[in-house]
Amino acid sequence: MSLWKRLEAVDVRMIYLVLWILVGIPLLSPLYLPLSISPDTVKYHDAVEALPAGAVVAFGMDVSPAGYGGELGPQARATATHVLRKPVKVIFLSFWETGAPLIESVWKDPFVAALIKTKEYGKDYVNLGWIPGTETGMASFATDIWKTAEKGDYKGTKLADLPIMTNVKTVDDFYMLICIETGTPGGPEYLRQWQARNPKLKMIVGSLGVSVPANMAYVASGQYMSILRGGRGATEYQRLLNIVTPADVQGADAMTMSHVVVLAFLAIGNIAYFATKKPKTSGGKA
Amino acid sequence: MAADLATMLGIYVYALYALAAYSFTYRDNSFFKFAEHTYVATSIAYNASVAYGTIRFTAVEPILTGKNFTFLIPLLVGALFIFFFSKKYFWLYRFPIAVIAGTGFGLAMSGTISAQFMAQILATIPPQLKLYVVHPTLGFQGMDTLNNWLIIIMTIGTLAYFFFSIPPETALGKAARTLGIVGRWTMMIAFGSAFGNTVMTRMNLFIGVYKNLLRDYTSFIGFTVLILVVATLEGQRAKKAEQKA
Amino acid sequence: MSYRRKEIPIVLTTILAILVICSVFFKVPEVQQAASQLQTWTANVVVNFAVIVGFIMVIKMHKSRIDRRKPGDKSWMFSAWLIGLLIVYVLLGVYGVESSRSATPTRDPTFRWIYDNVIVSLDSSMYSMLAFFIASAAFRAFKARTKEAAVLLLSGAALMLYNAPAGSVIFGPLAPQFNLLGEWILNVPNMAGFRGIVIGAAVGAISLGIRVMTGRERGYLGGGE
Repeated sequence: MSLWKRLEAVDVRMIYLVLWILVGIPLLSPLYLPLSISPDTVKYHDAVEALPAGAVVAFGMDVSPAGYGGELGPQARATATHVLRKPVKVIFLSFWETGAPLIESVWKDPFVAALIKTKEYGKDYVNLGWIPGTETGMASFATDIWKTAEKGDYKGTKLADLPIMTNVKTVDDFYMLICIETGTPGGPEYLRQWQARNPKLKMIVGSLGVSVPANMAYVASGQYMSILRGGRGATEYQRLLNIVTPADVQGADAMTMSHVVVLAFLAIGNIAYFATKKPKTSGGKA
Repeated sequence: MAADLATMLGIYVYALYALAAYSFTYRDNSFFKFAEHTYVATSIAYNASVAYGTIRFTAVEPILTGKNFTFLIPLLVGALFIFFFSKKYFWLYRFPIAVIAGTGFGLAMSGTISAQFMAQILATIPPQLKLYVVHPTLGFQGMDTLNNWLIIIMTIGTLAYFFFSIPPETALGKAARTLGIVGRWTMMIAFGSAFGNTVMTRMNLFIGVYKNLLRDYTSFIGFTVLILVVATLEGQRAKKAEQKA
Repeated sequence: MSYRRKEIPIVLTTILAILVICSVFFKVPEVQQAASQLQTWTANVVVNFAVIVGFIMVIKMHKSRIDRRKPGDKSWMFSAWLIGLLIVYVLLGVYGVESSRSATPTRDPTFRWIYDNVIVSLDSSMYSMLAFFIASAAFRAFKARTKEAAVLLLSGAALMLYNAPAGSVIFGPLAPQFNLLGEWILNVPNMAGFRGIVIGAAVGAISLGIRVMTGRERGYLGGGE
């Protein structure tokens, strides 16, 4: 049996083992590979940087635990760090029931926690927790926030006892929406229910890599001011904000290694295919 | 002390479940089945708990405190869901479904028209998309102009690919077919880019879990060895049983 | 009368959908108030009852697996574990809600601990398993058998190199040009293709809505009389 045929017949578990080993190397010992910054990340950064003092920002943590652990956690923590550096009012919320507890996980990040200490809960920022109903909940929230969040914030405090909510009654009172999204409900649903009602609402989106291709249509049309492109976008944003930790460097290097591994498998698989492909006979069939 | 113990126990539990789930890539085994059933149980229980909390403090609390009795209406409509389990009164279950579907479809349709239909079409035609791009100081921008024309042709091509109701032998049909070929190649590039981005997402998900597993080497190596040994033994037992049968 | 069993819910769906659509396109205060109230009730209350139906269905399904168990078959133990854990975690959640006097069960430390170490772990690992299958598919299944497949693979490979933080390093001095190529693929052909798909999906969503409102699409009502 030729080498290529043997490669094609290799046990699939060997492929998994190779992935475990090669991705593990940079996680144990970072390689400090270089990184360029894409224009979309710069625009995302500039959109947050340009927030005027006193602006009310909705921070939608519409994430699943899986998305948070992979790409959206670094995006959310970096975005929260940047937003909390600005003199704005931040309303954290989530239309995903599994996303609501992760708002508190974002607050535990060292960079975010240091900024949170300088802010007053209920006056500078608030966590409304899970708003149920997916897209219907978004529409209900857009038209009447107080009625939709009748249950109060995540601690059960009524909105009347939260000064930040005094003048925030509908989606018209938001200056910007930051949407960190895993899937549905997410960006397109916000476009349909929030931005359709308030065309002046600025929107930036932290997106999973898998959603980036579809989201580029909304970026090009101007509906999203900009987008963070998955794990790569998170890494770039951390560099711009100067909040890179050794764990982030390891993650970025592991991301590069994993892509190189998949590309190598693609190349080897295709070379093996063409090397073992039978030439077409004069009868027309291979 | 209790907090440290809870954190340490949490790391071990995290490692056990993550490796039990990944053990499926080696072979199906009891650890994976245990992880799978745990996942289903905890996810559903979590969703049921938050649903209970929301109903309790949004609808029940205002009724109990006498502040707002109108919430009795959605509570009664929602309670009709229980008739899903009745053969005789199953049709009553359709009323809350109709409420959810009517509201949902109405919202989705009204939002889709402006946000996804009109906005995207307007972004593909002048004046939003310039057919001749001139920079105020740098002059004519060839690449931007070419890109804009490509966007128009490729978008129309993608739409034309899905036009099945025009007879192909007519002039319009032939034009749609030609544009459809452009659309097919455009979508190949688009799906290729979707594949490339999917690889990034899935690998980042894996890297996130891997980082957490490396918090403690004892649990990582210990549970890996345990699960591999058990899975291998189960595999050998299953093979023997198959050979006997 | 049997017509009430499907026709009345369909009429109800249509009326509510029209109410919501009118509230968006016409500024009539009474209509907007009614639609807003409908949305609040549906989102906060009615939708949450559906979760409870799912909860009961799962218990029934796994209980029937335990009842149908055969001698020597140990898989019923997993169903028993599922039902036990389900009930315990829900009771813990109810306790968390009542003790914290909030709608958030994660205010209870034990409930939160299980969320952080069990749900997060399992959710992340179940979804990330696809990483392994992508790697094996890249080796075994993604072959450039046709011209279209070759274009798809080349586009995918270019994006993978672009997405990898240090992917463009292999191009040495041409790295900036490669980054421009990656940007171009994302912003021109990819964007155009997905724009066409988004517009097509919007048309599909609108036509599905019209079919539901005219009673031609009845699948959402469930089978039977």
